[in-house]
Amino acid sequence: MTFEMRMGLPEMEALWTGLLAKAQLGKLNADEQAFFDKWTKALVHLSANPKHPGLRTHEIDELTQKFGVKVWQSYLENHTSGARRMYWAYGPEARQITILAVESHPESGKRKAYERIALSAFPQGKASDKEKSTARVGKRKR
Amino acid sequence: MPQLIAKEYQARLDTKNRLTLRGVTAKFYVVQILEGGSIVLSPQKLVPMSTPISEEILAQIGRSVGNLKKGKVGGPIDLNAARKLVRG
Repeated sequence: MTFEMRMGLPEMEALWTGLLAKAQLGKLNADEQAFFDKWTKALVHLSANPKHPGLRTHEIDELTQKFGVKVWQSYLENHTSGARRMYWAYGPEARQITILAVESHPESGKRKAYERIALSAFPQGKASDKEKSTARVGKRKR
Repeated sequence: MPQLIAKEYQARLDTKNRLTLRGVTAKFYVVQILEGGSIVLSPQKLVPMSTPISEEILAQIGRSVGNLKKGKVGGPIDLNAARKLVRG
């Protein structure tokens, strides 16, 4: 049983259809061809078996916690340092997978500062001044 | 290790089931609701992720998840056409 693959963003769908169209015309440059090959192979594996060993699929707990849906990460390539990754989630319907993001360039995962989003236990008695503000359970809407 | 009570006050839920926390030290909490009805808030702090992700990719994921929750994702992609064009 296979999963139907969908793109979560119009620009990602445009990237995919653009690559596919150029591939059909034989107009992909070397970098584009390499990315297209790896992305297609990963999508085919993902569609057939999300836990395919080559994908090294695993849930990213921090992202699941942040976004409220289970966010999974799979690799587009093996045995490569700085391998490109894609992020996906099940849904919106049964037997469907939505691609949430893909690192189209090997370095894109490292660009800019790393986002700090994970939560861990607070050291006893330590809190930053910034965090010493009154917090509320739930957000007030006006 | 048992912890001393530094402050105690009575509170009630407002019309939207919210409680105001007074004199807190953190912005993030793990909330545990015990069987007896007690609620334990354990303060948390932000730390670097074990898997670094760029802000750009994180923003993409956020927007995609928004679309996914609304059911507004793209149509199914044609993998059969693509796999025939893969080299190697």
